[in-house]
Amino acid sequence: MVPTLLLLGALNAFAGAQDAFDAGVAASRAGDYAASEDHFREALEAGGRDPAVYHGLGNALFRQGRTGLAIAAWRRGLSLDPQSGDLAANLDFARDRTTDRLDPPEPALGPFFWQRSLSVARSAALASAAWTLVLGALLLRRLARRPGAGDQLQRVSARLGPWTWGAAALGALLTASTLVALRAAPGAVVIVPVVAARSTTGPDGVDLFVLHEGAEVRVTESTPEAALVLLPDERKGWIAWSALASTDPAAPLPDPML
Amino acid sequence: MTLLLLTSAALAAQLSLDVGTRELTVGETIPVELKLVDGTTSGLPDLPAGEGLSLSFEGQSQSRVVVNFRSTRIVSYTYAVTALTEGRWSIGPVSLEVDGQTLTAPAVQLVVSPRSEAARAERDVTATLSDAEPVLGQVVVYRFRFRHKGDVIDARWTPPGFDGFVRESTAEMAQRETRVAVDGQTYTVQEIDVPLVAAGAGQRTIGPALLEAKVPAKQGARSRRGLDPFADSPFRAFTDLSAETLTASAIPVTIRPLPEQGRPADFSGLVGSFSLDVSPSATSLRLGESVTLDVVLRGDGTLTGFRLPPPATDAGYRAYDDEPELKGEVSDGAFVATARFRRAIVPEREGRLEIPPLRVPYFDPEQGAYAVLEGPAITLDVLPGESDAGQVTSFAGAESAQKAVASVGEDINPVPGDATIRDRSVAGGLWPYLVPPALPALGIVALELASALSRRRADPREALLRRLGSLPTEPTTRLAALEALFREAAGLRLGRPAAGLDRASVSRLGEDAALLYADLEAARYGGQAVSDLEARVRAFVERRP
Repeated sequence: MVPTLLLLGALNAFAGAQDAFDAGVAASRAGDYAASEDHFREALEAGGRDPAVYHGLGNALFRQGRTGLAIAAWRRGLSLDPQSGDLAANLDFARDRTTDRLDPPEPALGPFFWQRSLSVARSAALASAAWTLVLGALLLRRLARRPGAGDQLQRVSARLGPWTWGAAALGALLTASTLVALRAAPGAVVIVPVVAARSTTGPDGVDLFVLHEGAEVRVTESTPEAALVLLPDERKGWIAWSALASTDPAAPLPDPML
Repeated sequence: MTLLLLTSAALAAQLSLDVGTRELTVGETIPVELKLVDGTTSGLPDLPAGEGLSLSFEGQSQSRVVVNFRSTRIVSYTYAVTALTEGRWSIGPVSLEVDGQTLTAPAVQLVVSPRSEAARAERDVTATLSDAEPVLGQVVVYRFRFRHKGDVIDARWTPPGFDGFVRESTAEMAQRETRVAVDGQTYTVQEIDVPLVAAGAGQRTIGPALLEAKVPAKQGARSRRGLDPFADSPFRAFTDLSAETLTASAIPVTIRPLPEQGRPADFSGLVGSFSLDVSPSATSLRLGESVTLDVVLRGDGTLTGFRLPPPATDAGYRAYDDEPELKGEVSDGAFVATARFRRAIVPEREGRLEIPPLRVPYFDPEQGAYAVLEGPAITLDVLPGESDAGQVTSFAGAESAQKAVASVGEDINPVPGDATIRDRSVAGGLWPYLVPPALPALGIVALELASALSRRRADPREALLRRLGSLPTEPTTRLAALEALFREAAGLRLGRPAAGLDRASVSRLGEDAALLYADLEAARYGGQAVSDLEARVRAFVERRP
């Protein structure tokens, strides 16, 4: 009874987000992109950090001519589902229409190349499954050593031995790659028509280079007011956060219209 | 005349600011010394100076002076102060923490007068900008000009901060040197041109530029030293030099935003005056071959980041662009940039192919309006080539009337309406992923705890040993108790209940155990007296398996 209630409760937790998403899709199909944007934002606030919500939000923003925010929304969706061909295609479409030719920044994942195709949630789930297998096998082995343990249990426990090592290695690799992906610095997208990157955050700095809406950058340092952005050619400069949107799905998506 | 300012009594530490002169002209450099007498401090003192002065730390020295058998320690911090702008400027005050107390040397005021006309006639610097009201994205040229008469050694230019501008990346600074004659006097004129792109709209100021040089000292100064044995030596030029700093004024600039009115939807971002040349490598080709369009864009604006507009999706050909070759240079104070693009055109069908003119909208600051560059329309004759060349083959078979579905447009992909929404992020933390492996881990911990607890229960052998120490005194009962102890000890070792043991099973514990079993039987049930039976049972129980 209790597990059923818990399961029902878990499923119901996203009912509000689902309703808002469905309303957003309906408004988008009716051509009311402003209302569609509001519904998708509502779905995010209701906890629906889902690739489909970011897909819809990005589309609504793009239709309203807000390419920078659209790119940021699609980037967030792609980080939650790296294998989504639709999101990747939308990003390519929008990138062809931006002013600055910049290669999209790649997250620093080190040797964990598979993390480009796996979301953090998925790699965490796989690591959890691997460690569950390892510890389950160790539990079986422990049970098999108890006095009175059956022969069958002992045979099963012996056969699991080599697989346990493999599962442990896989669990360790996935755990490491999940932690590296979690710690990778997020990127940002310029959401204003033009902004200058400056040498300092104070008034004494000079403008170093200019970026236009839709430019995608890496963020190497951050203060509450500004971010130190890095271009592919290693140029750096400070830009106010009011001109940027982070691509981290955990961060709130700014609404410059407010 | 040296001015020395003392701040406290004779025996305590003293701090003083020593200035060579209080009057100087623009460009002159004088030494300033901060002296600490009989005190210790840490770090370098911070010597503030007015805006019209430039201060640089030259070094630190220490000395000891013995006067009237008293040793005095002096630490000197030496600075060079250069007058940049006329006016009244102060140096200091300076406060130092010395041996637990704060000493302060008061400020010293300097009067800086402008360079005389004669001095300006000898050497002068100016800075100009080709357009003081450029439009955002326009290229302007900043020119620094140094005019001098006579020798100048080791001239070093410090560029100003170009607030609101970024350096044009395709062109280096241009330098040139000429000689001009003015009123019969010959001057050397050195110019540095820097191309800049206006990057931030609004009121800006390009700061003052500095030029530091060493010039020969004046003749009058030499005569005050009296008889000079090296007066006629050519090497004198290397020994009598004075440092001079010249300042070019700051330049106020207004960077205007691009107008919204009249902006084409496909505005390229180019600002300037441009020309466009387009020429194909051939006008006739076979299907499957390609022709190269050579496109040259030239003008006085920056071309960095510009790409040719892509063709329409139903153009009837595919286009592939090489990386453009960009060149820029400043010549005679004007910036010129050239970009060469090579576009490969691959027709998709036979017949006459019309390639529409290349269209490049730009903003012309001189006209103050948007304009459009258009290249010529190009017509290609595409002759039949190899079979299937340039075509997308349908897998429906050679005889099929089906055609591949042609794309007529591109757009973003719609959102799937049947998605089930969840939180797919890890914003709530990783703890849900720790629960599944935690369950078997808890099982292992529980088993280990149970095992440890059971090991801590009373050792049966200990219980037997305790009973050995409290045997009944009555002989028959004592013998029965001994036999019971022996059986239980044997049963513990064999892992069997004591009641089921017989001689055959006890013999597995060894000959001694079998003999003891037999003797106990004989004593208990046969009435035989067996000596040292109790000691043997005790030894058997005490012996560890």
